Amino acid sequence: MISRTEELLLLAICRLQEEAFGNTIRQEMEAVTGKRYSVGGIYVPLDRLVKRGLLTTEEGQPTPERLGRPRRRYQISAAGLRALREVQELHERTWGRLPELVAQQLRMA
Amino acid sequence: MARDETRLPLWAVALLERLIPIRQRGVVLGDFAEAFQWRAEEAGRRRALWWFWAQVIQSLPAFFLDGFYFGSVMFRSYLTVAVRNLRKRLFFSSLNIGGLAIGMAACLLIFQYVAFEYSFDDFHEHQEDLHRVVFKRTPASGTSYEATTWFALGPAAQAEIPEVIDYVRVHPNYGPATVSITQPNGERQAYREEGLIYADASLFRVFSFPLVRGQARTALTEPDGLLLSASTADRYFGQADPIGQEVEVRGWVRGTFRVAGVFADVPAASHLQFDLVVPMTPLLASGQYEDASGWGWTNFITYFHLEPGTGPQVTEKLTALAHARPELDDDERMGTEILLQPMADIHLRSTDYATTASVEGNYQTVYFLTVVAVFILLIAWINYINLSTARAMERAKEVGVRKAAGARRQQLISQFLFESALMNGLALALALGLAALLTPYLGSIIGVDLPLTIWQDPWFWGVFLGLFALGAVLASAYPALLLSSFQPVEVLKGTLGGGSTKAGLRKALVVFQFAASIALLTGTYAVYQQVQHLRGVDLGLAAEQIVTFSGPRIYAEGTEPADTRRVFFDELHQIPGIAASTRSTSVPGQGFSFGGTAKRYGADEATRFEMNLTWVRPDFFEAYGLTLAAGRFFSDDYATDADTALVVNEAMVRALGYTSNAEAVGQTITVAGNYNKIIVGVFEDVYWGSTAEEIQPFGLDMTRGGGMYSARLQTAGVQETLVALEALYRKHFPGNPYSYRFVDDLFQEQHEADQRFGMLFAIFAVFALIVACLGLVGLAAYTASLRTREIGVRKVLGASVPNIVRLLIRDFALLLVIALALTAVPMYFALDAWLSGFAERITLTPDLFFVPGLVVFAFALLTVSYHTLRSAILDPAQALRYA
Repeated sequence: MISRTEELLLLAICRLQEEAFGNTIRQEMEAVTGKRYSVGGIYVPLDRLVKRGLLTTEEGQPTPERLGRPRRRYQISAAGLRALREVQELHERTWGRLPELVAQQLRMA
Repeated sequence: MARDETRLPLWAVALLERLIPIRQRGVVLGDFAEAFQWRAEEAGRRRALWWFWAQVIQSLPAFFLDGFYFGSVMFRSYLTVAVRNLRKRLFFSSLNIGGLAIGMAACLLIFQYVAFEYSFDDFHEHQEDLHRVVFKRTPASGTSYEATTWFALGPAAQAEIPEVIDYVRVHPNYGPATVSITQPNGERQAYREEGLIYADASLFRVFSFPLVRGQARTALTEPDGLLLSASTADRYFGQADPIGQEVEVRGWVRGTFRVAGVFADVPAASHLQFDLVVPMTPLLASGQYEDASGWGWTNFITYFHLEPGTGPQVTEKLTALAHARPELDDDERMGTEILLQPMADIHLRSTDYATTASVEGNYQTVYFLTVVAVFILLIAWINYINLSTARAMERAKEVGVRKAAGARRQQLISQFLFESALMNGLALALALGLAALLTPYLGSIIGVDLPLTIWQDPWFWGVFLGLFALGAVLASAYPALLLSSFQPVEVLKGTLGGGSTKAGLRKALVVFQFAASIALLTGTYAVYQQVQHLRGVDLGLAAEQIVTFSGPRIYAEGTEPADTRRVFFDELHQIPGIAASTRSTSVPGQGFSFGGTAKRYGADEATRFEMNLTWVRPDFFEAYGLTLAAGRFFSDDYATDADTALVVNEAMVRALGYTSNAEAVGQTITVAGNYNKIIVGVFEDVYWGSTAEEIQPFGLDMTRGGGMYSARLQTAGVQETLVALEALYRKHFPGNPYSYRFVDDLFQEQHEADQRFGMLFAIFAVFALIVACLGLVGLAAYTASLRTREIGVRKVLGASVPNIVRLLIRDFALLLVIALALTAVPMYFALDAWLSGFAERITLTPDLFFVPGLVVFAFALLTVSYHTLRSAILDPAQALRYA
């Protein structure tokens, strides 16, 4: 089972689709979850996901604004999707079966 | 310009390139540049720069984490390559590692010894505040020091000097005591004890000797309570409880004591060694001390426990205190100064002191060995450098390929450093094993059971490992820099030359190795010759024919001691192998019975000089074969001899200032301040003390007693005579321990320290030579392989095998000659300085330098000859194809 952070990262990459690069993932994470990563730090969890086969990478063309350095695009793999679905199913099993009263209390909390 | 404003500055790029691990570098740097640009466009350059720094700092952990991962990958790669290299050239690698290991092991052994010597007395809780009283005497004959003092000094100092917290007086037994116990079956068992001391009750307060049984507070407070060491108690009583057992002591004090406590055996690293402690009270109430003032006899070693840092003040006060005593005569007051020796200095810095009951080391030996250790380590490191650079050519191709494939110099350097760290690590592990194995042997040579506690000392490990880490880096830095500097183009094209400058450095290093080996061997040889010389010095006595043994201390009940002794000597002379016998208070080779000053009667105080006395029976002269130079020996015909007569040696005549021996006869002299004696005879100089020292003035006084018995043996049938002698002793003096010594053995023992010094010298010289030769084997093999082609060509052109051998050996021979020339002069001065401490010394002849040189040459020749011959004999066809 993947961790919460990993789940959020995978979801961010899914949302970004073709635009999932280091910088954009960082901004997306900060915008959606409030979790801040440093420019170098974002690659630590990303690498871990790549090593576990949940993400694939693709080196892009160097651009002038990147001072001639390439960028790396991340894409979710089949294994990554399966991992997300596992989380989703767990969610549904746990959140979907709450008694109505609790669900109401939750909404009002 | 506008674009430049938003662009990541070049210095930032450079910084990031250093920080970001290589695997991520491009992508992360790109991210930084891009994000910086966004920031700069949005909020301006200043803000963007702040952002940049914050980001760098926040990213650092990630960079390190990743770098570490990357490092571990490279680590595995380095390890693989290093192990492959080790195995590929097993011969070279084992020479390299073996040499280093031997060098390190030698160094470790020496460190251990040095650490042991420095650890003396550091187990005392108050060590820094403990001091020993030393007398400095300055008579006309020169300054002398002694570490004993009056017995009244300690109590007086504590009463009058507030900085003195506590004191303890120790009185050795000055010679063996006889201690006897009654066994459970009623039988008496006597022991000869060398380690009996008399001490104040404060012994266990001032010092930190732990008590196993009994209380430190009450120990030695009862005048009849005696303390034993754990092993002595074990020896006497075995499993039985020693406390309360009766022990009879016959030494300076005679009496019956009971065991009041047991202390743990005194550690080897204590200058004060003892097995039995008798309270001071009965000693001061007996014999010569009973009615003495306390400011006369100086037989007491006194230690003070002072307030921290008050040593200098107390020293001044002590001298003032002593000089104010009315009991001292002017003579003593003028010539005596009281010094305090810090506890930490006692073991290593008492070389010139007349001391008793202490284990002495010599700081010069310790310094010297430290230097030797450094030299051996240097030799080992040089080997390492030489062998590594010699192999550099071979690795050049590897470096070329790596560089062509994109390896940076830094990476190559770290690879080579890693390899040498591995080699050094292996060598260190080997060295530790070797040292652990050899420690007991070292201990037996220096005559000390080296405690292994040093191995548990973190300080020792810190210094030791630090030194080796430093050495490993230093020794591998040059090979690493050299290897990584090769240009790939040159290497791969095969145009890289042998490099004559590198060979030059190698040669210089080899010369240093040879020089160090020759220096150590020369030292060994000189020490050996000097010790042999000292042993061979004519003593002037028939020392090798005389046996000496202690007279009895215990007599069977109901017998008259004087009669028993007379019968013993009567029967002794009936043994056919006994030529003569005598009694004296001390014997040659064992020291004198009394030390003091002498001058002509009525002469000025300033003419006083140090001299020694021993009391002998009139037949001593005949038994020891002394030759009369003038006057006569003691005689029973002169009733006054026992009181006033003195027979002196020629050195004493000279010290008194008489022009001839005959002139001295009949003169009156004043001895020890107030005793007047008449010189009745002069005998030719003989050695009484060490042959290493000049013969000092001494005199013989007459006695009818004396605790030391001597017997001169006929040269034939020595074994039978010794057996008969022992049987006779046991018959007349049952219950007394019997052990005899030949007098010449007593003399030989005095050279033990020098002999050990020579032995240590020899061992480490051999270590150094082995290490140097190991290096030489490697170099010879290497040069021979480099010149295979050349040798092949020479042989084809008609060179013979001897020609080739000469060619290959010439290089090494030249280096040796240079080394010999370099060592001779400094060694000459060093040895001359060492020998100047001896009265009887060898002269420094050229053979002292050439013999070690030849030995080193022979070793070097042996080591290089295998590879040299092999390449010289090799079929030229093979040699040329090989290349």
